[in-house]
Amino acid sequence: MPMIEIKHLRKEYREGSKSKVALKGLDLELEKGDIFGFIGPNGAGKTTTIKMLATLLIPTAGAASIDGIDVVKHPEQIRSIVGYMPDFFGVYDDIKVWEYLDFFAAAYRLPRDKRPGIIDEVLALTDLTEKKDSYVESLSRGMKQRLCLAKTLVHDPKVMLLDEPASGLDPRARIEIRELLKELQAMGKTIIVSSHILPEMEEFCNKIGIIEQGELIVAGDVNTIARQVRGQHNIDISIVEDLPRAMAILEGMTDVVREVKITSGVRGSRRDEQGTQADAPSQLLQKTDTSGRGGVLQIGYVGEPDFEYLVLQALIQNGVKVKAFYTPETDLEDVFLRVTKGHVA
Amino acid sequence: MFENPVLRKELFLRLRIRQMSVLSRWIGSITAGILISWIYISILRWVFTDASSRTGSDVWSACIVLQVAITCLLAPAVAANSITQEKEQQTWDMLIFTRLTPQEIVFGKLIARYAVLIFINMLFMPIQLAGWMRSPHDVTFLTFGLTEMLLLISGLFFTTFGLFMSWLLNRTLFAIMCSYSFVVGGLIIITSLITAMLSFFAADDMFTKSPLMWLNPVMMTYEAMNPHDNANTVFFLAFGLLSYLILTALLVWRMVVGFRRFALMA
Ligand SMILES: Nc1ncnc2c1ncn2[C@@H]1O[C@H](COP(=O)(O)OP(=O)(O)OP(=O)(O)O)[C@@H](O)[C@H]1O
Ligand SMILES: [Mg+2]
Repeated sequence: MPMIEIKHLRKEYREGSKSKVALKGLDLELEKGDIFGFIGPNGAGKTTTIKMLATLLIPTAGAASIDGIDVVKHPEQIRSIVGYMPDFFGVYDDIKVWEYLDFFAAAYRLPRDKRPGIIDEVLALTDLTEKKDSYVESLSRGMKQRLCLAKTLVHDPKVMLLDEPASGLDPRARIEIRELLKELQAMGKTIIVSSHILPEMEEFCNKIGIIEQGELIVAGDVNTIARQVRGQHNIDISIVEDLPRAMAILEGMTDVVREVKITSGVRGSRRDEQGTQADAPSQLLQKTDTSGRGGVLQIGYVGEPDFEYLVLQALIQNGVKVKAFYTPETDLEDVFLRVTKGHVA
Repeated sequence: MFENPVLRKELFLRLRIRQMSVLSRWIGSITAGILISWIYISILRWVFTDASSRTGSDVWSACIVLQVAITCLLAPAVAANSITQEKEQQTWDMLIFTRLTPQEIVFGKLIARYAVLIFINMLFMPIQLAGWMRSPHDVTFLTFGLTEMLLLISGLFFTTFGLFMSWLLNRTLFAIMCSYSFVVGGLIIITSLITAMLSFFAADDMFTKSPLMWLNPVMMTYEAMNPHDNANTVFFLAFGLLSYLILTALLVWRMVVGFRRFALMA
């Protein structure tokens, strides 16, 4: 029996007299121990789905069950086996970290004598032990996020629904959340975690679903999908003159070059726009009016990484004056990590 | 009941003074203690030494009037932020996601806020009692009992109404406004206006006959303090207070039963 089973789940919001479809019949099955990355742009319907699983919204149609329990019919039972972390949340004023956790532990009906031990455990897991006696409002945003995760863990839920647990965090804090999720994965929990960003999820999700405008576009094994979505990597080519000819050559290499676009039309200037990896592959070519001047082209390379040089070779052999040929460094996180150190402030 | 985590949190953890230093906490409580005892001692001395025979009942009446005023002005607001604030701070979803039952949440919040009101009323008790002891004949046992009941029940009703508004609405400001509009605007002003309008067409004693006025807390206080004839007064107040209690129960019932359903609609 799947741990999470969603069938034709649909949600319409009423907005005055009109109704707005936020989720158009979602189907999904997750096994115990799955870490499901739920990815999609703003307004795609991630929060709506998660809230319905969390019994906080009633579906318009369809059904969902967690561990065999129907979310609409038995919300109380669901809440005892599920941990939920909302996308936006606040904390109580005038309350210390351990009191906050104690409150939720009590609210989950954990026996009084067991609570201190459990609180220490979740604090250690979320790396907040030093903050045990601090007031909650004095914590930084990242710490509050971890505290919320700690709160989500007090009743040792089988299933966790985490709605953008890493939003608004700096790269280091995101990595820390990621590490924490890996630990939870090792503990055998089934997790649904939503995000806008794909690369962030690859590392610890074994399944992934991409949702857009209320529809699950793809769902399944992470490696397969990551390759589908990011089957190409970008190469920037800076050219001294005659951009159109270079483009024509590149466009001719349809077997290895997916997408050619001009990122900077002015000779010698740096590209003014970073090509995003999520650009739809369907857009094969982007033509812009160019004079015979130079500029920077960006191509989506889909061939074997070791044979990139063939593209360069083809350009040079055709007399194109190539000034530079490189893969743009977009990994800010990497840079950030090298200059920071991971202390709990 | 004291195992209820909502009640415990509302009662013990909310006090701002917890964040003050130990020294300022001591200084604060000693100052407050001295001030309150000084007020008590001077009033009590005056009550028991003043020659006039009416002093006792005057002091008692003054206390009741003040307490009713405080109840009407404080009770509607005292609980009106208790749920809207959680919605505004975005803690509400997480609270109702726990295994707490609607009863625990509703009663936890209601009792904690009502306790504030009771505490303030208790501060008046020594003076009230002294006034009553000084002139036991002016303030009959019936009058005393009725006024205390009035304070307790109207306080509970207004507090519950504030909580209900807080549950129903999403903004603290609106909840407080609606709550005041109902108690001050509706129960006190509108009942009087309608009755006054009606009395143009009816007999002079409309004010005591109109059932609307039986719900007016000011009128009820007046009746309780000046019982014209006992049977009528008791009937009049019993009607008002019972209505308050029934409405309180209805509001609580509505909140508990509709608790989740309503939260889900938002
Ligand atoms: N309470 C509501 N009333 C009406 N429409 C809503 C409501 N909540 C969400 N929607 C709509 O439903 C759609 C899905 O919203 P949802 O919050 O699920 O998106 P999301 O994927 O979580 O987006 P984000 O990444 O911004 O968090 C959006 O178009 C949104 O406008
Ligand atoms: Mg969202």
